[in-house]
Amino acid sequence: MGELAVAAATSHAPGIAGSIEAAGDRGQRFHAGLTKIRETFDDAQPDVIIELSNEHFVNFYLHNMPAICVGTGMSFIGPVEPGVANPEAFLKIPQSRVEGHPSLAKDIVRGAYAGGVDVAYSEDLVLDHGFMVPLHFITPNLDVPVVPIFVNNLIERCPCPSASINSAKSCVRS
Amino acid sequence: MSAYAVGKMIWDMGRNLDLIEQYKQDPESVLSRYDLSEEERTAIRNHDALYLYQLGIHPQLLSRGMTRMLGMPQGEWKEATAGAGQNPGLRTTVSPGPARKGEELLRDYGSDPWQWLSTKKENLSAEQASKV
Repeated sequence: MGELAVAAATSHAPGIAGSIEAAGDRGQRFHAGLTKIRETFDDAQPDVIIELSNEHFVNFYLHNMPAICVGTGMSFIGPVEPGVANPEAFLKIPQSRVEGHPSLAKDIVRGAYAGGVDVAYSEDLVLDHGFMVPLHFITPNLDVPVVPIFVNNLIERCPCPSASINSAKSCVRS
Repeated sequence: MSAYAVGKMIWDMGRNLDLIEQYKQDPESVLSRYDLSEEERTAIRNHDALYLYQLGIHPQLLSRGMTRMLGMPQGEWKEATAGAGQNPGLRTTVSPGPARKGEELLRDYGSDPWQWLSTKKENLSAEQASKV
Protein backbone atom coordinates (compact mmCIF):
# COMPACT_ATOMS: atom_id res chain seq x y z
CA MET A 1 0.00 0.00 0.00
CA GLY A 2 1.33 3.40 -0.95
CA GLU A 3 1.13 6.71 0.77
CA LEU A 4 -0.90 9.58 -0.60
CA ALA A 5 1.73 12.30 -0.96
CA VAL A 6 -0.30 15.12 -2.43
CA ALA A 7 -3.71 15.71 -3.99
CA ALA A 8 -4.60 18.59 -6.29
CA ALA A 9 -7.21 19.60 -8.82
CA THR A 10 -7.07 22.06 -11.68
CA SER A 11 -8.89 23.04 -14.84
CA HIS A 12 -7.55 21.64 -18.09
CA ALA A 13 -8.94 23.89 -20.83
CA PRO A 14 -6.70 23.94 -23.93
CA GLY A 15 -6.28 27.72 -23.71
CA ILE A 16 -4.43 27.37 -20.39
CA ALA A 17 -1.50 26.16 -22.46
CA GLY A 18 -2.32 27.32 -25.98
CA SER A 19 -3.47 30.93 -25.57
CA ILE A 20 -3.23 32.04 -21.94
CA GLU A 21 -2.43 35.61 -23.00
CA ALA A 22 -6.06 35.93 -24.07
CA ALA A 23 -7.09 35.71 -20.40
CA GLY A 24 -4.97 38.68 -19.25
CA ASP A 25 -4.53 39.02 -15.49
CA ARG A 26 -6.86 36.13 -14.80
CA GLY A 27 -4.52 33.90 -16.78
CA GLN A 28 -1.57 35.04 -14.71
CA ARG A 29 -3.44 34.36 -11.48
CA PHE A 30 -4.38 30.94 -12.73
CA HIS A 31 -0.79 30.11 -13.57
CA ALA A 32 0.32 31.33 -10.14
CA GLY A 33 -2.00 28.65 -8.72
CA LEU A 34 -0.55 26.01 -11.04
CA THR A 35 2.94 26.98 -9.92
CA LYS A 36 1.89 26.39 -6.30
CA ILE A 37 0.71 22.91 -7.25
CA ARG A 38 3.99 22.23 -9.04
CA GLU A 39 6.01 23.35 -6.01
CA THR A 40 3.91 21.10 -3.77
CA PHE A 41 4.60 18.20 -6.12
CA ASP A 42 8.31 19.01 -6.19
CA ASP A 43 8.41 18.99 -2.40
CA ALA A 44 6.40 15.79 -2.07
CA GLN A 45 8.36 13.93 -4.78
CA PRO A 46 5.62 11.44 -5.61
CA ASP A 47 6.66 8.12 -7.20
CA VAL A 48 3.61 8.07 -9.41
CA ILE A 49 0.73 10.31 -10.38
CA ILE A 50 -2.85 9.03 -10.52
CA GLU A 51 -4.51 11.49 -12.86
CA LEU A 52 -8.26 11.65 -13.39
CA SER A 53 -9.79 13.48 -16.30
CA ASN A 54 -12.95 13.29 -18.30
CA GLU A 55 -13.39 11.66 -21.66
CA HIS A 56 -13.93 13.96 -24.66
CA PHE A 57 -14.77 11.33 -27.34
CA VAL A 58 -11.04 10.92 -27.91
CA ASN A 59 -10.59 7.29 -26.87
CA PHE A 60 -14.21 6.20 -26.66
CA TYR A 61 -17.44 6.54 -28.58
CA LEU A 62 -20.91 5.10 -28.14
CA HIS A 63 -20.00 1.65 -29.44
CA ASN A 64 -18.20 1.20 -26.13
CA MET A 65 -18.40 3.88 -23.46
CA PRO A 66 -16.90 2.89 -20.10
CA ALA A 67 -18.04 4.76 -17.00
CA ILE A 68 -14.50 4.66 -15.64
CA CYS A 69 -11.44 3.35 -17.47
CA VAL A 70 -8.01 2.85 -15.89
CA GLY A 71 -4.98 3.15 -18.16
CA THR A 72 -2.90 0.03 -17.53
CA GLY A 73 -0.44 0.57 -20.39
CA MET A 74 3.34 0.93 -20.24
CA SER A 75 3.08 4.37 -21.84
CA PHE A 76 0.64 6.76 -23.47
CA ILE A 77 1.12 9.25 -26.28
CA GLY A 78 -0.05 12.79 -25.67
CA PRO A 79 -1.23 15.28 -26.45
CA VAL A 80 -3.49 13.81 -29.12
CA GLU A 81 -6.48 15.85 -30.30
CA PRO A 82 -9.09 14.48 -32.73
CA GLY A 83 -8.61 15.72 -36.27
CA VAL A 84 -5.63 17.90 -35.36
CA ALA A 85 -2.50 17.04 -37.35
CA ASN A 86 -0.18 19.04 -35.13
CA PRO A 87 -1.46 19.19 -31.53
CA GLU A 88 1.69 21.05 -30.50
CA ALA A 89 0.61 24.03 -32.58
CA PHE A 90 -2.81 23.91 -30.91
CA LEU A 91 -1.65 23.43 -27.31
CA LYS A 92 1.98 24.53 -27.34
CA ILE A 93 2.78 21.23 -25.65
CA PRO A 94 5.20 18.93 -27.49
CA GLN A 95 3.82 15.50 -28.25
CA SER A 96 5.64 12.83 -26.31
CA ARG A 97 5.30 9.42 -24.71
CA VAL A 98 4.21 9.55 -21.07
CA GLU A 99 5.39 6.64 -18.96
CA GLY A 100 2.63 4.60 -17.33
CA HIS A 101 2.68 2.45 -14.19
CA PRO A 102 1.01 -0.85 -15.11
CA SER A 103 1.45 -2.60 -11.77
CA LEU A 104 -0.20 0.16 -9.74
CA ALA A 105 -2.86 0.57 -12.42
CA LYS A 106 -3.73 -3.12 -12.22
CA ASP A 107 -3.83 -2.93 -8.41
CA ILE A 108 -6.31 -0.07 -8.71
CA VAL A 109 -8.46 -2.20 -11.03
CA ARG A 110 -8.31 -5.14 -8.63
CA GLY A 111 -9.08 -2.82 -5.72
CA ALA A 112 -12.06 -1.38 -7.55
CA TYR A 113 -13.42 -4.86 -8.31
CA ALA A 114 -12.96 -5.81 -4.66
CA GLY A 115 -14.82 -2.65 -3.68
CA GLY A 116 -17.74 -3.52 -5.94
CA VAL A 117 -17.04 -1.26 -8.92
CA ASP A 118 -16.40 -2.92 -12.28
CA VAL A 119 -14.10 -0.34 -13.81
CA ALA A 120 -12.84 -0.85 -17.35
CA TYR A 121 -9.16 -0.87 -18.18
CA SER A 122 -7.14 -0.42 -21.34
CA GLU A 123 -3.51 -0.49 -22.39
CA ASP A 124 -4.23 1.42 -25.58
CA LEU A 125 -5.16 4.98 -24.69
CA VAL A 126 -4.02 8.41 -25.79
CA LEU A 127 -3.93 11.48 -23.58
CA ASP A 128 -5.67 14.64 -24.75
CA HIS A 129 -5.46 18.13 -23.29
CA GLY A 130 -7.50 16.95 -20.28
CA PHE A 131 -4.45 15.01 -19.09
CA MET A 132 -1.62 16.86 -20.80
CA VAL A 133 -2.36 20.46 -19.81
CA PRO A 134 -2.09 19.78 -16.05
CA LEU A 135 0.89 17.42 -16.51
CA HIS A 136 2.72 19.93 -18.67
CA PHE A 137 2.67 22.53 -15.93
CA ILE A 138 2.94 20.31 -12.86
CA THR A 139 5.63 17.89 -14.10
CA PRO A 140 7.06 19.67 -17.17
CA ASN A 141 9.75 17.03 -17.72
CA LEU A 142 7.16 14.22 -17.56
CA ASP A 143 9.57 12.34 -15.31
CA VAL A 144 6.96 10.82 -12.98
CA PRO A 145 4.95 7.83 -14.25
CA VAL A 146 1.23 8.39 -14.64
CA VAL A 147 -1.82 6.17 -14.18
CA PRO A 148 -4.49 7.92 -16.21
CA ILE A 149 -8.10 7.29 -15.21
CA PHE A 150 -10.82 8.31 -17.66
CA VAL A 151 -14.24 9.17 -16.27
CA ASN A 152 -17.28 9.59 -18.48
CA ASN A 153 -19.01 12.80 -17.50
CA LEU A 154 -19.64 13.53 -21.16
CA ILE A 155 -22.76 11.66 -22.03
CA GLU A 156 -25.57 9.81 -20.29
CA ARG A 157 -25.30 7.51 -18.48
CA CYS A 158 -22.49 8.86 -16.37
CA PRO A 159 -21.23 6.83 -13.43
CA CYS A 160 -23.25 7.40 -10.29
CA PRO A 161 -21.50 9.18 -7.39
CA SER A 162 -21.09 5.99 -5.38
CA ALA A 163 -19.08 4.39 -8.21
CA SER A 164 -16.81 7.42 -8.34
CA ILE A 165 -16.34 7.44 -4.58
CA ASN A 166 -15.66 3.69 -4.40
CA SER A 167 -13.16 3.95 -7.27
CA ALA A 168 -11.39 6.77 -5.47
CA LYS A 169 -11.24 4.62 -2.33
CA SER A 170 -9.61 1.84 -4.31
CA CYS A 171 -6.97 4.31 -5.53
CA VAL A 172 -6.22 5.28 -1.95
CA ARG A 173 -6.04 1.62 -0.85
CA SER A 174 -3.73 0.59 -3.73
CA MET B 1 -29.39 6.05 -40.19
CA SER B 2 -29.06 7.84 -36.89
CA ALA B 3 -27.19 10.31 -34.77
CA TYR B 4 -25.04 7.34 -33.80
CA ALA B 5 -23.82 6.81 -37.38
CA VAL B 6 -23.15 10.50 -38.05
CA GLY B 7 -21.24 10.76 -34.78
CA LYS B 8 -19.34 7.56 -35.51
CA MET B 9 -18.19 8.98 -38.83
CA ILE B 10 -16.96 12.16 -37.13
CA TRP B 11 -15.27 10.12 -34.41
CA ASP B 12 -13.56 7.82 -36.92
CA MET B 13 -12.34 10.83 -38.90
CA GLY B 14 -10.94 12.41 -35.73
CA ARG B 15 -8.77 9.36 -35.17
CA ASN B 16 -7.68 8.98 -38.78
CA LEU B 17 -6.30 12.01 -40.58
CA ASP B 18 -6.17 10.00 -43.84
CA LEU B 19 -9.94 9.71 -43.70
CA ILE B 20 -10.25 13.51 -43.39
CA GLU B 21 -8.05 13.89 -46.45
CA GLN B 22 -10.10 11.29 -48.32
CA TYR B 23 -13.28 13.16 -47.41
CA LYS B 24 -11.77 16.36 -48.84
CA GLN B 25 -10.98 14.60 -52.12
CA ASP B 26 -14.13 12.51 -52.41
CA PRO B 27 -16.81 13.01 -49.73
CA GLU B 28 -19.11 10.35 -51.17
CA SER B 29 -16.50 7.61 -50.72
CA VAL B 30 -16.52 8.27 -46.98
CA LEU B 31 -20.24 8.97 -46.61
CA SER B 32 -21.10 5.69 -48.33
CA ARG B 33 -19.35 3.69 -45.60
CA TYR B 34 -21.87 4.77 -42.97
CA ASP B 35 -25.53 3.93 -42.59
CA LEU B 36 -26.83 7.44 -43.21
CA SER B 37 -30.17 8.65 -44.52
CA GLU B 38 -30.29 10.94 -47.53
CA GLU B 39 -31.30 13.81 -45.19
CA GLU B 40 -28.26 13.20 -43.02
CA ARG B 41 -25.91 13.03 -46.01
CA THR B 42 -27.38 16.29 -47.34
CA ALA B 43 -27.00 17.99 -43.95
CA ILE B 44 -23.36 16.88 -43.74
CA ARG B 45 -22.60 18.02 -47.30
CA ASN B 46 -24.28 21.39 -46.66
CA HIS B 47 -22.68 21.93 -43.24
CA ASP B 48 -26.15 22.15 -41.72
CA ALA B 49 -25.02 22.29 -38.08
CA LEU B 50 -28.47 23.01 -36.68
CA TYR B 51 -30.03 19.98 -38.39
CA LEU B 52 -27.26 17.75 -37.06
CA TYR B 53 -27.56 19.23 -33.58
CA GLN B 54 -31.29 18.61 -33.57
CA LEU B 55 -30.65 15.10 -34.80
CA GLY B 56 -28.77 14.61 -31.53
CA ILE B 57 -25.09 14.83 -32.41
CA HIS B 58 -23.26 15.50 -29.19
CA PRO B 59 -21.99 19.11 -29.06
CA GLN B 60 -18.46 17.95 -28.34
CA LEU B 61 -18.43 15.99 -31.61
CA LEU B 62 -20.45 18.53 -33.57
CA SER B 63 -18.20 21.52 -32.94
CA ARG B 64 -14.98 19.71 -33.79
CA GLY B 65 -16.60 17.65 -36.55
CA MET B 66 -17.98 20.55 -38.54
CA THR B 67 -14.76 22.53 -38.59
CA ARG B 68 -11.96 19.96 -38.40
CA MET B 69 -13.47 16.98 -40.18
CA LEU B 70 -16.20 18.18 -42.52
CA GLY B 71 -14.51 21.32 -43.79
CA MET B 72 -16.90 24.00 -42.48
CA PRO B 73 -14.93 27.29 -42.34
CA GLN B 74 -14.52 28.61 -38.76
CA GLY B 75 -16.27 31.85 -39.67
CA GLU B 76 -19.35 29.99 -40.95
CA TRP B 77 -19.46 27.82 -37.84
CA LYS B 78 -19.34 30.88 -35.62
CA GLU B 79 -22.04 32.53 -37.67
CA ALA B 80 -24.26 29.44 -37.57
CA THR B 81 -23.98 29.07 -33.82
CA ALA B 82 -24.18 32.79 -33.04
CA GLY B 83 -27.61 32.75 -34.70
CA ALA B 84 -28.78 29.98 -32.40
CA GLY B 85 -30.23 32.26 -29.74
CA GLN B 86 -33.52 30.40 -29.93
CA ASN B 87 -31.64 27.20 -29.35
CA PRO B 88 -29.67 27.52 -26.10
CA GLY B 89 -28.26 23.99 -26.42
CA LEU B 90 -26.43 24.81 -29.61
CA ARG B 91 -25.31 28.15 -28.28
CA THR B 92 -23.68 26.52 -25.29
CA THR B 93 -21.50 24.41 -27.57
CA VAL B 94 -19.46 27.48 -28.38
CA SER B 95 -20.38 30.05 -25.78
CA PRO B 96 -21.09 28.78 -22.29
CA GLY B 97 -21.70 32.28 -20.98
CA PRO B 98 -20.08 33.91 -17.98
CA ALA B 99 -18.58 31.37 -15.61
CA ARG B 100 -19.87 31.44 -12.06
CA LYS B 101 -17.36 32.28 -9.43
CA GLY B 102 -16.20 29.47 -7.18
CA GLU B 103 -17.34 31.35 -4.08
CA GLU B 104 -20.86 31.61 -5.47
CA LEU B 105 -20.97 27.91 -6.16
CA LEU B 106 -19.68 27.07 -2.70
CA ARG B 107 -22.26 29.35 -1.12
CA ASP B 108 -24.99 27.49 -2.97
CA TYR B 109 -23.65 23.99 -2.54
CA GLY B 110 -22.38 24.31 1.01
CA SER B 111 -19.97 21.63 2.09
CA ASP B 112 -21.90 18.76 0.51
CA PRO B 113 -22.94 19.18 -3.13
CA TRP B 114 -25.02 16.00 -3.05
CA GLN B 115 -26.96 17.22 -0.05
CA TRP B 116 -27.51 20.46 -1.92
CA LEU B 117 -28.62 18.61 -5.00
CA SER B 118 -31.09 16.50 -3.06
CA THR B 119 -32.79 19.67 -1.81
CA LYS B 120 -33.24 20.61 -5.45
CA LYS B 121 -34.80 17.27 -6.26
CA GLU B 122 -38.21 18.75 -6.85
CA ASN B 123 -36.73 20.73 -9.74
CA LEU B 124 -35.34 17.66 -11.45
CA SER B 125 -36.93 15.28 -13.90
CA ALA B 126 -37.79 11.84 -12.55
CA GLU B 127 -34.77 10.37 -14.33
CA GLN B 128 -32.38 12.94 -12.93
CA ALA B 129 -33.85 12.65 -9.44
CA SER B 130 -33.36 8.88 -9.47
CA LYS B 131 -29.61 9.44 -9.64
CA VAL B 132 -29.38 11.68 -6.61
